[in-house]
Amino acid sequence: MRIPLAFLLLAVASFVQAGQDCRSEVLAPDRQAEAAAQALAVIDRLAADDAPVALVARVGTDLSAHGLRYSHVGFVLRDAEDGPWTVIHLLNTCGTDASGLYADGLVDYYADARVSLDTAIVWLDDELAAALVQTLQRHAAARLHEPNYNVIAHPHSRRFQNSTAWVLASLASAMQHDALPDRVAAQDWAEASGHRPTRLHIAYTKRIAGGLFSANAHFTDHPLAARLSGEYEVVTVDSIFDWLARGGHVRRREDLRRPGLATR
Amino acid sequence: MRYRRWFPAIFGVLALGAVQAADPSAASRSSVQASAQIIDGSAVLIGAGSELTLAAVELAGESAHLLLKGAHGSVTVSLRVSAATARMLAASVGAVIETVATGAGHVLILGGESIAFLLNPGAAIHRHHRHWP
Repeated sequence: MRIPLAFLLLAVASFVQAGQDCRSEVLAPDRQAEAAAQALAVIDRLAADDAPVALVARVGTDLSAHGLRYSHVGFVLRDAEDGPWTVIHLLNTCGTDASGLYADGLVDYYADARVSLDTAIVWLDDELAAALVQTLQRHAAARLHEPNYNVIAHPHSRRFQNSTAWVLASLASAMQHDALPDRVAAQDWAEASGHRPTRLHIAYTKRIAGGLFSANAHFTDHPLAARLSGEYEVVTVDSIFDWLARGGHVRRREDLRRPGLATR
Repeated sequence: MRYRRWFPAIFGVLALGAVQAADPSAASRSSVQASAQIIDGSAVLIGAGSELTLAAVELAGESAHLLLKGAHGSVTVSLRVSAATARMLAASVGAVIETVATGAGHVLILGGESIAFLLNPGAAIHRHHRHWP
């Protein structure tokens, strides 16, 4: 009876993973209502500003243990082909080692915020905003997408990318007014212009287990020293926002808290 | 050790949560669906504080239709809902459904439980999802 129970535990583990990463259930009506209300609140803020593009961060994962609030960020584009406001962002494909780029309405964007509906909106300086619009509208940012996904991708990874690394590369490319952007060049530019990745400490047991059981976590993407110490450098929402602020590219930032939706 | 064989599996279960917690940019697509959409009839019926009667539940594959009647029974509205919602409501035909306005739509309530959310048309234009570019 012991071995079947062990298999059962593994099966449960797989199910939990699948459930966390690619839910198929319909969201609870109250949750949908909250997400839609937050989307409209964000639209109000966006509409009150003339900017053609902004960054919107959300809380999809609880990173408070790492001192971080927001886990994901995308570009929200005014008057895109899909609607008056469209979020362009990178999503992991259901916990696999692949990702895709997506255009989402803001209601969909916040319906996927699993931990909290808190959000941050960052408006860029006019020059960078205009360049970023070009990068997005000409689909040049798609050239910066690496579909091999690693949730803890190294900022200079040649093999992998996560959602924040794609945003960073797109911003770096826009700063260079690069019509034919290159991911490695964008990574180098980001570092040269002052981007400093966030250093996350991941305990030994967690990274061993993550390497064994998660398709979307590749710790070998990092140097040996990092793997020994457990200190991993990663592009995060915070590192992007800090980099933009230090470079004088943030015209305004607003954080919209939405009490009432804790974890559901 | 009686439990030695279980250790890898138990470790695996615990570890999955750990990796999630370490996730700096997790972003996977949920199956986001508005739980109800008006497909026919009078949208005016879905107003704040309305009391409607659930007149019929029709299952059609993965989606389903609810037929709601107004107080006098002559005005109706049909909603498309998920099959899961319809199955939950199948035994409640004849029951009263209340509507409560929220910032972006209306929540339908049956017996104190929220059963569906209906986006206002102004908010519904912000519901879309596709691969880019």
